[in-house]
Amino acid sequence: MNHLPTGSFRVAEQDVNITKTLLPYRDRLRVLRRALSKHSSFGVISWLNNDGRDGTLEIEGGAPPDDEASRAILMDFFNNKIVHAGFIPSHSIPKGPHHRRPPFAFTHVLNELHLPLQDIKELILIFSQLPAVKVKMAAMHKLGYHDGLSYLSLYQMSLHEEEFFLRDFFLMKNSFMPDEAKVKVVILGYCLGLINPAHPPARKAVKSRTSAPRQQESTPSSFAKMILSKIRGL
Amino acid sequence: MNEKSIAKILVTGPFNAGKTTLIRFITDEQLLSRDVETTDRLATFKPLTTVGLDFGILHVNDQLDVHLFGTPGQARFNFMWEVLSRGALGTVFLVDSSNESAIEEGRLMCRYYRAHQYYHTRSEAPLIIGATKRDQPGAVALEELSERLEIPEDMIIPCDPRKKEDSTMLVACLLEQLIRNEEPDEEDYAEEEDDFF
Repeated sequence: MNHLPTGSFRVAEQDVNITKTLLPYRDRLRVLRRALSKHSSFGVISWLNNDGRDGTLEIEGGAPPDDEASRAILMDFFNNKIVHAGFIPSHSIPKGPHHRRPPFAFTHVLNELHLPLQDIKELILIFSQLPAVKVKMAAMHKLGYHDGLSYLSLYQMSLHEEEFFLRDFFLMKNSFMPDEAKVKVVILGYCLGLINPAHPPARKAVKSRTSAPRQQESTPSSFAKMILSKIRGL
Repeated sequence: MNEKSIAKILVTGPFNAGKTTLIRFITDEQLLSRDVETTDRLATFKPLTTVGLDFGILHVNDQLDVHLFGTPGQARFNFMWEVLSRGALGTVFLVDSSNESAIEEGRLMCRYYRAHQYYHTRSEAPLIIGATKRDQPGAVALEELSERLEIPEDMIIPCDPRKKEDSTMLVACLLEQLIRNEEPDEEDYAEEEDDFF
């Protein structure tokens, strides 16, 4: 069954005719986050390079297929000079429970990726401007990412700051990690949705205020969540 | 008035791994911990050791306290694990990764602990392994430790309990594991759909 949307390139080409300005890195990452952070993501990432060539990457279950072709395409997405990119969700999402496809193609590309110094600086600047974040724990080797130690450091740092900003991670002194390793691990966390805003958007707060008040459930996971928020401030 | 709930976390593992230190860093109050002179062959490793049990309370909020129980590390106190582990949210298991006999004892303890846990609850409460003394000569690689303890590598976290942030991280990892086990439908990593650049 083909879940890919059609006609996406026409839109991309039209956009590109208007401007040839290179797409800022943050917009590329935003596209990846939309595509990769939800298991219900089905669709296609499409983009256009400044030389007129285009690229597409199919996403099913929140990840591209883990094959050589997809890895090469994704590497191009990082390395090429892109002027337009977007994630176009599929309108024909298969029914039934969606299982997350492991993000191995993405982590493989990140393992291999070498970022130019200029890009590293740009990315540090972008991430340093983010509001306070929460970092989720995840076993990096299960996701196929080799630098688990850098992710562990990021996670650890987030735990003992009441308000954790990614800029503190980049400013960390006596760090064994080069800036490139820090940037890559933050790209991974951001795109896979392991790094999230510490303070939820206002619309969610409104929703919870309008819903009927509910007694806090006494389940092990509700206890665990309470304890987690307590020890984050320790 | 609602009664305050109490959750329990077990801190266990072989001798001289840092259990007492971890509890000291994590909790607001510590009770009952009693160090005495080590008298058996283990006296060569450290002069004082815990008898009875370590116990600490973490006041989370007005609804919840967490009781952390630390078991003594010597094998002759094995009978206490079973009692203490009942009803626990999960277990932090510390092992000195530079000490051959501690690793071997850790393997037996892990096996014993998991079997008993399953026997009593028909489920596995989360367990996280803190590999301590990574800076000591002879510390084994995490892959090797995983094989020797017969525990998947993603359950093993390098840790120095003398550092408060390491201790909190270990407990946080345990709790995140518990949340994942309890809420298996939460497959998504992201909590918010919104971009926040």
